[in-house]
Amino acid sequence: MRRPRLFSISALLMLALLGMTAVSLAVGRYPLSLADIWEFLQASVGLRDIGSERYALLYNIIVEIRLPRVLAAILIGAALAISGASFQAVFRNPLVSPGILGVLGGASFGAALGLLLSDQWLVIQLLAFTMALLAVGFGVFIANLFGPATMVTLVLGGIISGALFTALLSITKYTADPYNELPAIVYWLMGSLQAVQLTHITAVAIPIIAGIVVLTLLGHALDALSMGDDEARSLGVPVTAVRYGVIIMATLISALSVSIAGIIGWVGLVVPNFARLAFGPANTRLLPLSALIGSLFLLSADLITRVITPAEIPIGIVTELLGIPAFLLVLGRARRAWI
Amino acid sequence: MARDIHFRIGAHNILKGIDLAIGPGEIMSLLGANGAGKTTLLRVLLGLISPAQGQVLIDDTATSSLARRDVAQRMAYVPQVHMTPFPYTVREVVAMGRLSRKGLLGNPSDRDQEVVQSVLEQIEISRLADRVYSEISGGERQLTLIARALAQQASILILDEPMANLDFGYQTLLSTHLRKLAQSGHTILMSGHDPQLAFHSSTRIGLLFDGRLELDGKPQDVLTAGTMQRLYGVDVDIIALADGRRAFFPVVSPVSQ
Repeated sequence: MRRPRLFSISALLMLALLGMTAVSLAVGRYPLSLADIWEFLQASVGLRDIGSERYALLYNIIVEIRLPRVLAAILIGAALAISGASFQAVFRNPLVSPGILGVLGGASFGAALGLLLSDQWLVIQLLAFTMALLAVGFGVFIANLFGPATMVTLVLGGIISGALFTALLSITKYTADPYNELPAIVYWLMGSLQAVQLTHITAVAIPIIAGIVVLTLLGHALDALSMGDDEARSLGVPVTAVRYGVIIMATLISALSVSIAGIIGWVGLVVPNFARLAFGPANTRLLPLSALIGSLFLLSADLITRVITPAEIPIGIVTELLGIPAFLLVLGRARRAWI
Repeated sequence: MARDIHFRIGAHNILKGIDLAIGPGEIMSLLGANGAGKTTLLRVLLGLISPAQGQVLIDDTATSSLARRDVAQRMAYVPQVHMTPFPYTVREVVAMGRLSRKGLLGNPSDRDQEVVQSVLEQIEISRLADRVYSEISGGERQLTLIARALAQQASILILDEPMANLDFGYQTLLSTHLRKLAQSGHTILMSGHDPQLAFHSSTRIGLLFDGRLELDGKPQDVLTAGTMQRLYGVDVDIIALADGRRAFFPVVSPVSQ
């Protein structure tokens, strides 16, 4: 099968993303039309005068309320999808998701601990991020405990580390005050873009974008890696260095995402599989396209959480509900095609 | 190429002092009973595992002192036919052979694409170029892996039981390809199980007994009824035809008689 060109696909997806962004900025409890947004855009670069009162109103709705979550959805969707795709290549298994090395368990425990200790978002996010890295570090440490890590020991290390941090999470939940803290922990675990602020975005945007670029650059090496260690080595790839480089980058960007938005499942599993089915497995294409599709997917999910009910439902639930049928579809096609 | 190679796992010595030099134009087959150390030797030569003692040299340079990429430019590996978990096309698999030439991060240049196209034509699988690797036959996959090794443009080819999963037709086809490659100056080393195939497809045969390369020479000198008996523990009749071909029969009568 001939693959369509990367450039034209990404241009198309970018356009879709732009359209989706405009719609997301317009939709909400105070509905705006696309014309309103266009008007605001013109006014903000000084092409048009719309009066300071209206400008302030639009600024508040568009920039202060909606833009942060739109940008968060774009960044986090991209980060989760590309880290999922990278982990799938490293572990040579299309059913792997970013949580494989324990990043989610660690982040959950960190966030829960943060919610107990403090009501500052920054503390909660920092703890979630640190524990996520710690959990992966611990998983990798276990994998190397009895000689150099192999794929199997890495998976086992991830399972052990995940179990440990889930146990720690349970302890935190058990000791939490059941009226205030426990519900807060439970809500955090469902994932939400509600609390995201523009300052969070500026803090995580650069590392996430850098991660996406680095992972994409390693695409050819990942292709070789997904053929097996011996083959990758004899093709000239320094396997251990590439593997850990990819694990570090993918862990970093998924930990950043989780720490600002909680647990948002399925994106990292479903999106890469969908992208692979549509555009082929070559990682130099798959990784950037997964990132774009992940952005689109999470932006759509966020839109659904906001329009479906007046009281917003957690985005993690929506991605799961959307993810399951999408994954069944992929699985059905995949079974026919490759297994 | 290899000097005094020892390899052990725990207290178990797998390779016990192997010296082997092999040059351009040679096709050498390694035969040995299961567990004699064939695969281990190939893995040591490829630098996938380090020997406990001894070193592997290419043109007097120890491979352990070279970067992976430099080794890959000199020596290519053709693994046994396998499946991939991801649906790469044949062209994509072959293009992976260009990694050591273009660098890890670079995109394939026009030159890389030309090389890929020309090896696809050389191995006569361009019709498969856009098929999915895991959906073609075992023989076609073996040819794809050979094409990938050729795309590396390395002068040494190491093949792990290349004939093992091939039907009669593909075995002959593969051995014709290998012969052409040796004539064009490649150095070829492969492992195998079938003395008759080894006899007809190699210029030289090495017999591995329990981690030692005990016999190494021309096929007609090495593959005798005596050595076959020692190697495999079965009596073998060898019938030489006038044109130089030989047939190897184990001394058992056909089941149908």
